[in-house]
Amino acid sequence: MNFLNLKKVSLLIALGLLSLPAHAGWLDLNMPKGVTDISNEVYGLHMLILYICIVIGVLVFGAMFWSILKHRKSRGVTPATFHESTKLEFLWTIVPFAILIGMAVPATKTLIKMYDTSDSEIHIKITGYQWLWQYEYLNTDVSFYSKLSTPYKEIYNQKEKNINYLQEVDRKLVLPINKKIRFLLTSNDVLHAWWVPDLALKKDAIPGFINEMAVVIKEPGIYRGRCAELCGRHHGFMPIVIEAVEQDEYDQWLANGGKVESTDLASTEK
Amino acid sequence: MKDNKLNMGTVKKLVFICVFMFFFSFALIPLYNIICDVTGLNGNTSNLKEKANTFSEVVSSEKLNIQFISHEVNKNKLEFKPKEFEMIISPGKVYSTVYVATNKSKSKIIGQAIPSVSPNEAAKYLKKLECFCFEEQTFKPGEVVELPLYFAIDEKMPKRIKTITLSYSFFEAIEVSKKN
Amino acid sequence: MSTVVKDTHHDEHPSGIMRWLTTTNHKDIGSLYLWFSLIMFFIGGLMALVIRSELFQPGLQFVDPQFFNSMTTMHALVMIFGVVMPAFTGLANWMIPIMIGGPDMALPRMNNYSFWIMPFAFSMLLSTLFMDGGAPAGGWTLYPPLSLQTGDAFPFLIFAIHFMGLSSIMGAINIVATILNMRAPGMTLMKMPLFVWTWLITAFLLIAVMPVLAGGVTMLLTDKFFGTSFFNAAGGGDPVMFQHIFWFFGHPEVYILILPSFGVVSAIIPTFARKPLFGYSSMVYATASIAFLSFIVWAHHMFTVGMPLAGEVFFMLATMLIAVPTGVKVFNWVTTMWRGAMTFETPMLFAIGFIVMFTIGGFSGLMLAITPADFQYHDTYFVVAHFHYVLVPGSVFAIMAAVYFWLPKWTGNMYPETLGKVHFWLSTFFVNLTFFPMHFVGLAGMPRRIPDYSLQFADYNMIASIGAFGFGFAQLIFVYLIFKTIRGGEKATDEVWEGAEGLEWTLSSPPPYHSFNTPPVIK
Repeated sequence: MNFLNLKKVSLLIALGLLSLPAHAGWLDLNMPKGVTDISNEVYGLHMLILYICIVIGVLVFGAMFWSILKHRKSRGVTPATFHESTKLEFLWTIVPFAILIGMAVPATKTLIKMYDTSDSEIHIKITGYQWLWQYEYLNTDVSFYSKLSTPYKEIYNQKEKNINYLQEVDRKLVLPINKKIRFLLTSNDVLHAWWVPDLALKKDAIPGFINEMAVVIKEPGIYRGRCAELCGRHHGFMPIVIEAVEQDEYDQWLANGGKVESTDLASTEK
Repeated sequence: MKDNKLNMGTVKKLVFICVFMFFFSFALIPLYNIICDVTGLNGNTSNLKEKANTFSEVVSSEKLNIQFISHEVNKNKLEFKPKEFEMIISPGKVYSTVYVATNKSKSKIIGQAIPSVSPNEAAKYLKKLECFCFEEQTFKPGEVVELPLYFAIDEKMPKRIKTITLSYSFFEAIEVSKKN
Repeated sequence: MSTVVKDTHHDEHPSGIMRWLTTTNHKDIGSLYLWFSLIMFFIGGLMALVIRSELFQPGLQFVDPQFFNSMTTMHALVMIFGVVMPAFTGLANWMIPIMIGGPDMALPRMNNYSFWIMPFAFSMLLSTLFMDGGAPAGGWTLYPPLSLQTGDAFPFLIFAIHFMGLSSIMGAINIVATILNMRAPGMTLMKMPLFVWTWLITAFLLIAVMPVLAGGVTMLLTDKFFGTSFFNAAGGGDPVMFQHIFWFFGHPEVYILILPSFGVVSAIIPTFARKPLFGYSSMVYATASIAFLSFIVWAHHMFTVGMPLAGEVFFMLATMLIAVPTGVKVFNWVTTMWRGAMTFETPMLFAIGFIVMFTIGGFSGLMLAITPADFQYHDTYFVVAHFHYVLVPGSVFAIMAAVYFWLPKWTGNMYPETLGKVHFWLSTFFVNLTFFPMHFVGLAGMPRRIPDYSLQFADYNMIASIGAFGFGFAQLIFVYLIFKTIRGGEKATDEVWEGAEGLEWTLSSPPPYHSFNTPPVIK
């Protein structure tokens, strides 16, 4: 009986350990590819530099561990006495340098694309407050605040947490797809940073100054982000939720003064 | 004796360096502004008045959009909005627009509008001939004031910039006691 | 250190507490610095454990978010200014005069002051925990306007930083003066051990950047209390200017935290490989170029503030360049090990652990340099993983390697080898368990400095918390081991390690209270 229990417990522990990574899912552990051309490029850059690092790592650590295994005193080796080699020093200065230049070129190209905000059709001003966001659709009457809607009880562990715990808001930022949207960022009090990983957008909101960035969303859906610059007590509690919709749905939403949440996607929220 | 003199010399030098450093830290503000003016860093547009005759009569045929936005620090007290959102302009020519301030509170408001330009590269090409942001403004309770702005875009501005946004945040004059 | 006293009965100095308060002896002051650093290591560590307990599960369990922010802020300040910097200064005090064959530090009385300022600075900093409005909670980077929202603690924080800066500058001046003036005849600059070289360069960095920090925080102080508007847009200032000032200090600062480790590792690897260091001069030049580059890369900490394109590209390229001299160092260490006759005592294990894990931190640093990708990494746990990899299994492991390496010399006793190895393996296992998962949660989108997180980050945060507690408890072995070694143990020989080279090994173990009163002969 006792023995059985022990077996059961250990099985459970083993299963638990195995399920840890499985639960999170490998894809959730890497940078998201996102839903814009630029976010895909950023993902590509990220993977490229990661692979370069892995290759260099395998070579350097490989040589090191080979040396650790083979060149140990307990194997009775006598130490070599060589030191200094200008050729070698030159080689391992110039090779990494070349790799870096090779890396800098595509990175700069992507950066130039990111900085291109021309020909935007929709202009939205985002203002950070302690601790919520304000969205103003410029040249329209639509303007609203968006703040965390997770119930207090879930945060203080008095109720079970829902799947979108801490990444749900009372009013989503509704955007059309396949249109160039330009965001103007500022803040009312302290520094904030507006970050949506799926769009590869992150920029600081600075009181008294405006910053800009542009995006073209390719797929409809709900994209969640967070404030990424420490802004005080509730820094962890000011999420961003974007709802990307087809053009006509967006037009309708805007015509309604931004008051009606689009129904089909909103129902999946809770 | 000689040692003492030497030491005094060192002390004098060190004290001088300390005093110099102290004042240098204050000199950093104008220095930083100069750097920002020259490089256009951070969209900190120059608050300096341009002379009208610095502009040539040559008006570029290029067109660009300029947008006006505002940031109201305390909306319930002071409404502060541009009259028009967007203008299509040609570089080199002088234009004017108006911001409207409404004092909704029951007391006098003293403060200044602080400009910011995006993209920040454009900051050094935006020339202001007359701006309400040059000086402190006073609004009586209930008053509605139209604040004029005369500006031009330098034709030297890179062609790839097609949209410029000029933002004003109206800040009340700071009182030390209040800030603490 | 009672053994030290025994050997030096002919020296006159006060005993008891007065000995430590008034001491001008570089060995005493070195020990004081190291003890101070060890105490602060546990205080900072406790703060880290508060952070990791709160992050064990989603939801708010133990502390208020404001207190959580205080913990992240204070943890960073304590670990940087109270642990790593004093530990390296302590090692410098102990070893530099001995390594260059000098009798003591060049400015012994200032040496005493620069240590005794530290306890005052940190009492002031830690006292803020009990103040109205709580301890500083705006992050150790003190970005305004948030840092200006600090309560009563604010002036204490600023003056504590001033004192720490003062102490560091005095220490640095002393080290420069010692290295330039106190070398034994024949000890040319290019004959100095690398630890001395890296410290010389570090000291120059300190002298260059600590005043910048002092200036920056003074401007914060006047902004808060005297109505200036350095960083306030309403008065014509700019909050981003503080970030430029801070990181102009902050980036050289991170090299201040790592360069002496390079020196320590460069002393240990050749000893246990029984083979001279490969490329001594290129190591010196690499250190100098890292120090130079550190002054022109600061804005890579602020890629998201909205700099002009040209600025972003410049800082990206300059940052990537740093990988070259850093790579040179790693390649040199590996080549030093190549075809040596290695043994793996505890200092060697820590040094190898340093190379491997510091390089991992270097790789993530290289990834962070790529500006477009940095927009995704910036201010996430990926950054947290990066700088903890270079600071914990980087700087802290190097400090521990140095302690194991020189402890037999300092005390005259060998430390228990098996226990040292256990300490190394536990530390290595737990440090990776703590910080490796942070790469994943960061990439998946978890920002840093948050007390609560959404559910997809839960599993890996739990693993990291378990790792952090493991690492914390493993350090108790270190403390036990230090006490045990001081109290006795197998007697160490003068040379201590078979392959050891350098002047410190020509002295007795423990060395006399005053060493090299007559300069040694350098071959």
